[in-house]
Amino acid sequence: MEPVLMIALILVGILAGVMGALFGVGGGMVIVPILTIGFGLAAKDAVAISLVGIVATSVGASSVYVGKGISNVKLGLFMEVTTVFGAIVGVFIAMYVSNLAMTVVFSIVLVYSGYRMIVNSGKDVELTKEPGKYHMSYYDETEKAYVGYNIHNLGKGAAISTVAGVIASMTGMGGGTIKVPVMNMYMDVPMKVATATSNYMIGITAFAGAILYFVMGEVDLMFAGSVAVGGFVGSMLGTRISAHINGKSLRKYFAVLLFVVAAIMLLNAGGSL
Amino acid sequence: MNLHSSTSKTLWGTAVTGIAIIVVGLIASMLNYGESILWLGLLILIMSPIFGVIVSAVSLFINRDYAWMTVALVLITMTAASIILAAYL
Repeated sequence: MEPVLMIALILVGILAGVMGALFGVGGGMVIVPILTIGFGLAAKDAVAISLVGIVATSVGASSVYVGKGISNVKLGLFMEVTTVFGAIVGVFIAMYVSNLAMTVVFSIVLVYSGYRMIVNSGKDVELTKEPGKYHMSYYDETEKAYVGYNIHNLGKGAAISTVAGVIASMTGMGGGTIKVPVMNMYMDVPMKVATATSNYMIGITAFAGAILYFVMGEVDLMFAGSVAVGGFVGSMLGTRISAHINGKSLRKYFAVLLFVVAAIMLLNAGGSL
Repeated sequence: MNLHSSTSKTLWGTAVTGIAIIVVGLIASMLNYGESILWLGLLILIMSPIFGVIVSAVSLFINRDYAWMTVALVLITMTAASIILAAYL
């Protein structure tokens, strides 16, 4: 591999890592389009590399958020049981689905994610110290105090996580763009906790898909290693940047980027470019 | 054994180890020494999330939080089953 190519892949990983840590996603929505459009990789190869990159970005960010208690480890473990099942199913579906079909699925997910980011900038969850059946708490650095919340609709959240797992394996995305609004909108989890918990969860989701691709020999080691290094570095940067960025505004701008990327991928798949 | 502290340290430790070996592996590969080191580093990195879950299960067991420990064990079992399934395909 040429050094210039390796540096470019590392930069791709850094970009994905920063975006992932900021928005609670794995960065696959950045990695897969760049690998397919910019580097000419087949969608399946890009997905395999992306899952490894997502593991790197997730672990980098979640090691910080879990340590600070913002990531809800118990909630993440619970939702991951169904998500891992979905991820395994998604790997086998991806082996028999054409590149065009996977591109279309990925583009649809991007458009949906962008729509959710624009119209739902974050539900104001009622923070409470009154203990419910699933009462959790975390230390909010901006509030300088512990804040509590009650989780609801665990069953619904787990069911939707299964779908997120299938999409994760098929598209190379960690499913965070689905899980974050699910936790916030349906389960009454504060946005900051939902984002951080998603970072923790998507690493486990991506692991289930990545290890299968890895064992099957479907991962280009040089590409994956370069993206992973960049992703880990980027996630570390992202956790530090996140405390100083207006998340609502940046989220809307990122949504526009998702629409543009989806359009480019669909046009490319249709042969119009 | 604090759940968040132990899980965080495990994630950090295995990830940093994996990334360090990957960096060495990338250099070795570019110098035409093969990809075995790179392969090892990627394997450790990819395994880091599940190592975190294992440590979480141990922490929950030590803290006698058996309900959530069961959730973690179910997750570990499902993941192990998927790997074994892949090995036979």
